[in-house]
Amino acid sequence: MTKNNNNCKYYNPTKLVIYQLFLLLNQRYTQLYVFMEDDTHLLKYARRSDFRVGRATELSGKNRALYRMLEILPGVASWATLMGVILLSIYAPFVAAYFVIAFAIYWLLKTAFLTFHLRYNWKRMRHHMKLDWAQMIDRFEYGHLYHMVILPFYKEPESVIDATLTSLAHSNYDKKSLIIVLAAEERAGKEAQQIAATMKNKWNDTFGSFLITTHPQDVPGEMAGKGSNATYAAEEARKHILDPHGIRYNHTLVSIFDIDTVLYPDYFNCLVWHFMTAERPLKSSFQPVPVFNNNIWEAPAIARVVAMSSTFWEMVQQERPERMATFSSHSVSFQALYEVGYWQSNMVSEDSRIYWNLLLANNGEYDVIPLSYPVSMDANAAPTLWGTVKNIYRQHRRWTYGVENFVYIVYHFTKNKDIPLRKRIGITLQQAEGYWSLVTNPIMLFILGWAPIFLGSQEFHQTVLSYNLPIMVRDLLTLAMFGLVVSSIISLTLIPPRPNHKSRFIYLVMAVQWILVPVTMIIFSAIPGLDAQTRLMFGKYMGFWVTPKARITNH
Amino acid sequence: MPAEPQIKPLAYKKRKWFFRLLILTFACVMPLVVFYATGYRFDFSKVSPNIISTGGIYISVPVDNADIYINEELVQDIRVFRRASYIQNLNAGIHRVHVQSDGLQTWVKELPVQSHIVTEVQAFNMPSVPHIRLIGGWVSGTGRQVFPKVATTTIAQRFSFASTTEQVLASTTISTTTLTVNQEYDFVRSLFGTSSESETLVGRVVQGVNEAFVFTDSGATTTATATPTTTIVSRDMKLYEADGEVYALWLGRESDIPYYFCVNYQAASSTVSQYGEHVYEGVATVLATMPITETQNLSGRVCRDQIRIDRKGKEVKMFDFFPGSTDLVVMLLDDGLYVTEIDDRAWQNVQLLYPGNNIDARIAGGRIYVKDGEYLMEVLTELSAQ
Repeated sequence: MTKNNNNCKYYNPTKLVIYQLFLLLNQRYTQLYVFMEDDTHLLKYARRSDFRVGRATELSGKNRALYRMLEILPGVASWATLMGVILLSIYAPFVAAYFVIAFAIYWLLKTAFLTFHLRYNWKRMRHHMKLDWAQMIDRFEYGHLYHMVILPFYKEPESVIDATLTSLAHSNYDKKSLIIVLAAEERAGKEAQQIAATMKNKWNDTFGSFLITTHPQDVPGEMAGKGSNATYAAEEARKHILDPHGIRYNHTLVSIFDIDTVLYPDYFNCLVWHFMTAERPLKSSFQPVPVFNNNIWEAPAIARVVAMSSTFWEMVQQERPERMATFSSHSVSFQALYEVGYWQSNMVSEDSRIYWNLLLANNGEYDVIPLSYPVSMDANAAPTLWGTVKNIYRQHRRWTYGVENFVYIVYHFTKNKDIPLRKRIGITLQQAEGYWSLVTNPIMLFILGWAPIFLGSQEFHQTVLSYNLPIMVRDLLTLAMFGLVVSSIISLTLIPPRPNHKSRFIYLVMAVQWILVPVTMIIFSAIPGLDAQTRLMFGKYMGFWVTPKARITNH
Repeated sequence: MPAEPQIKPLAYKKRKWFFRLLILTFACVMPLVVFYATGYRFDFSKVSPNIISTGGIYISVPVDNADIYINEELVQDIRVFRRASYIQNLNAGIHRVHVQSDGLQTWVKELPVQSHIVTEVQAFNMPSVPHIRLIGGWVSGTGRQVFPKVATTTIAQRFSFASTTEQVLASTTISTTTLTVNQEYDFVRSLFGTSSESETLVGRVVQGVNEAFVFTDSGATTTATATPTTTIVSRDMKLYEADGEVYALWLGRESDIPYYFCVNYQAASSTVSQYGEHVYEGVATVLATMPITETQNLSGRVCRDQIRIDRKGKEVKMFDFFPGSTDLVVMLLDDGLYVTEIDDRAWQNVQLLYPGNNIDARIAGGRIYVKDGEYLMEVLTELSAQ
């Protein structure tokens, strides 16, 4: 095998000198590239000084003003909507009532739309799980492919890491093609190092390679988190495994998995099939369905509902890939990653950001390919209910802080004119609607829907409309509950076998638990979303909060 | 083994069509729902069906199982809450509403319903047979009220017109040495000004409950030995007496005014026919204070701030708010104790609570007490569960 010839199509020595000078002048960016000799391997757009911007304060001049304005925009839009409904209820209750009715109908139809996608993907995913992918990829020549599995971890217990590696060892794929990169954090201390060493001892011979990397702590300008750790690990793996062994970057598929990711046996076969049949495999990311069910039998009802809701959302997205960005565990070619300098180290939601980095750097010519094949992950559950509630809230606030990607996308859409305008507008509107509805819809539906009744004038109160409003909204939401029935049925098919110590009665609880959805939508979607948007609006930037992955053993 | 999965990803075209179908559904359903929500109905009863606009009645009832009749027809279960019903699909016009329940007096009212408007009303049903709880001077070890020196038959005959669910002990031979003095008896006696013993207890109980009451004679919060008053204020409602009449006056903000002070004014004639001349008089007074330009094309809600209470042409000996309500008034007239509603649309329902032409009544601590001759009692306004 020969070493990959990096893409030098956009190489420009003059620009490089200027850029390097800029890096020297601006210490903030220096750290981002500290491990790379130069940036000639980066795609042209990825060489921009602002390509890996994380927040407005990293920019200057007009760009900083624009970025800051975009950071303010989502919060303002959400707050304006919520305040608008309140003000409308006070000063124009009739208009507010019509709006609420329209919104309830919209919600009902949206539920039908999403349920249609969910049900279809459930069917497809079950079909995919039954297929013999190993046999299906026999017709391809894929022996040249390597799989680099990056497993960033912090202080997760050995049992969680071991379960992940066990599932990798049990996959129906040539394990010698797997390069395992266990990415530890220096700040996690000696214990993490010890766990990593134990894992290497246990699994080293099972896989083709087993590399332990330790991401140094307190790197100036970096945000401690999964992104910086994964980036460090990928570069280390390149230097210590790919390059020395002459493994080509375009023959290496990187699967970055959260440390609690347990694979189904055919994951790599399924991935290879999709890679081999993709229209542009090196310009695509591959997204499995994260099913948060590892610990579902130990998690409380509220955690189960939230976890399954997240799974369902990803299942819906699998059937409309044009709206997809990568999320959590996913796979992508090393070549693509290398061309954009891996994951960003200076922001929170790096799992989605990497897709936007790739889309922008490739001038819009980049896809997410849904695998419709599951990977199991942990539902967010702590030993106590209150602890679970707090953890879920924090996790969802981190996820919804993904609104920082909206800022990033729109900012770069004003810069990268090589992306077709239609595509830029389409994505902007999709993303804007997504972040806006995430925050406003549950609150409007379940709380502000009643605002005209409580805040409206006496003239409004005496009307048939005022009396019918709660009845109509209630009836429409009851109809929308049909979506929850479908969710309930599907969720029961996605749970692992019942442990012996668990009662059959829990199946009933699992079916009924979906009535919690209105509550979970507000507490774990709308409010953390509003919290995240408000923080961004006021420039109170968030750091990376590591979701505790300790599994509950209450039996 | 197939070369590729048989279930393909959901085709973009299919999704697009489904999306369009939903948009079309929204466009069709939205106007229909809005029309329905605002009170429009399709009338199939005519030879040529047409669209009509309807109104409704929102009625609060005092008991869970009360039957509601609209125009002599029983309204089926349309409860919004346990004690409130929203009846819709009513044509514009006058509708006769009955609320009745076993053992309770029937409440009847004729109410105007206008298109797109809901007429709000609160029914009340007092027991058809006075329901009392006698208060004796002594209490037995088991908590029974005891009436020494009185024969059981005497009490039974004396209150044969009433019912009670609490047994009393009456005997001409019973000794009071084993009995406990009934503090409530002393308290109630003091309300009627016949005791000075339980000043502390009385003061504590009454003051706690009737803090909002203002008495014109003293200008201070009520005291234990208060006599019937001429002005009583509870929350933002004032009851006062003038020239032998009792009036309810709204003191609060206009935006908070109770619905029965207001009418949907269209014209003088329609107001008279829908609500009665007495209501129009109040409306006319309000209109007189408004600029002519405003009244010329006035159509909508007009609120009075004062309503006269129907005293059935009898002398009012005492009046007070019904316990826990500012919508009902308790009045002691020549021939008994009555409860009447302030709502004077059409007429005011007046229901007898306790008969008698030589009785006295007081309201304290959320209870209605009556002194009938030598007997003291609480008059209950709800039938006990048993």
